[in-house]
Amino acid sequence: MAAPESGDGNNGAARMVTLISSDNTRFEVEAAAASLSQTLQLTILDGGGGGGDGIPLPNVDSATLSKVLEYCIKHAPAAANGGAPNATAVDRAELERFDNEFVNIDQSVLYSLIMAAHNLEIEGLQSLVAKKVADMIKGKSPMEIRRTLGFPDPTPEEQAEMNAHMLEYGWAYE
Amino acid sequence: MAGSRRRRQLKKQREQAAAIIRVNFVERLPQELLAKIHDHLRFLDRLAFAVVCKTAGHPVPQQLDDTEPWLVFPDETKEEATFFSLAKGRAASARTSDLGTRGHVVLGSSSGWLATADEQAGIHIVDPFTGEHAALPDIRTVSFIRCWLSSGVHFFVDTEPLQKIRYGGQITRYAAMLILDNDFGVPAFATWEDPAAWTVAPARDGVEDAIHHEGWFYSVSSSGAIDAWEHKSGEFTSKVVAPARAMPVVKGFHVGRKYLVAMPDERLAVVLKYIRDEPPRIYQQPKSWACRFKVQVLIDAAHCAWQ
Repeated sequence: MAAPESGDGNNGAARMVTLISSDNTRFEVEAAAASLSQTLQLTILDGGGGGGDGIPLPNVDSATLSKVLEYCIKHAPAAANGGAPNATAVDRAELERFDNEFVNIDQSVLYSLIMAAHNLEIEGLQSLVAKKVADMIKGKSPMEIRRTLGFPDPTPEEQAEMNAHMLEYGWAYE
Repeated sequence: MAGSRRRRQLKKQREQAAAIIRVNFVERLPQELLAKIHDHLRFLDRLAFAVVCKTAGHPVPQQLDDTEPWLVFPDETKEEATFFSLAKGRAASARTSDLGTRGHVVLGSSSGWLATADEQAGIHIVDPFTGEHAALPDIRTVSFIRCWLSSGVHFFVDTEPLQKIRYGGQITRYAAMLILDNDFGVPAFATWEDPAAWTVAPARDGVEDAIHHEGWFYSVSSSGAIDAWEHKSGEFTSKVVAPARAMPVVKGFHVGRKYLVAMPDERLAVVLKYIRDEPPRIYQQPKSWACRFKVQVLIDAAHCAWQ
């Protein structure tokens, strides 16, 4: 299975690396995009992942890796530009639009993405998914947050504990 | 009958799907990711999230370290205050008299301790949770702070001992610049050669602010010109460093004040404070205003180039 196309098509000579998901799917991707992962960066700098070798990622399944690489490919040009200080407003707006759509996903996919961003140490993606979870939390009571984040309904003990904590912070809501 | 079995199967599938979707984030997420989520939340959402984290057996995210400030909410009627420590994630109400902080103002907080000052300038540190408190040395033990008792307690800085301490030794050669009221903007100078009196110096337009920098007095005028002040044969005269110029326009704001500063790289810069009076939203609401700042750095005095 091939990784999504980068879309710019102007650097055919760019170095490619192969990443192997936990379910043994191989993804060929530009080294610059994969290097957004701090975990992979050193291996790639050392010349790893090229040729027929591939870098195994036992903690990331193919569906999640495909999604992660979609993010890396989109953000690689801006990252190569040192955080894109020279990027135009149009470029920035386009990346923002992409980011907003990118995290408009099912919770289980979001969870896999969070773990992958953490394991692969992709700073921008970690921030993006953390912001998404924060947006899900904003303006909600602790009980609503529990429901949003997929907790089962609290046991009587948990309810008592929450009530105690709420008493502690209750003044802030008055 | 077959339809009923099909419905049961569908129900079971839906329940299984719901179980997959209902991922419990908080119990599984690494601490640093919780901290990142926390970074994106505002105060009340942080509290609600902290309750969820605690109930899930996670401590409050670790980046709430000792550098986080305390919040103090004084009670308007009772002698009580509510203290909230972001570092400890805890709130406490306490009688200010019990803590020895009655009538105190809070100066700051560090490492879970509050520093307070009373009307007599006694400085204390207090931990509102444990009630521990201790007095720090009186501000009057600083040798150049003087106390003046007249319709209340007033403190002032005695400049002579301050300068002796600051610059060392006896003050034998000095010069000082004084701007006589913002509205007049008239500069006056006093020197060691004539320690008895201030001498008013001629200025083309009003001086708004001045600094002493690299052995020179510099001033910025109401028209934005920068002057350097030269001391010759007992008189101070100004020479233009950068002439007056039009100030940048900020829509809806007017230039309120100008301040002159020296940058760390020793270049001069003018800080422009723009002010806009906000119309009251409701009848008798106190007057409010908004301000913005622009910093203009003089990058080339010879060519009057500003950045």
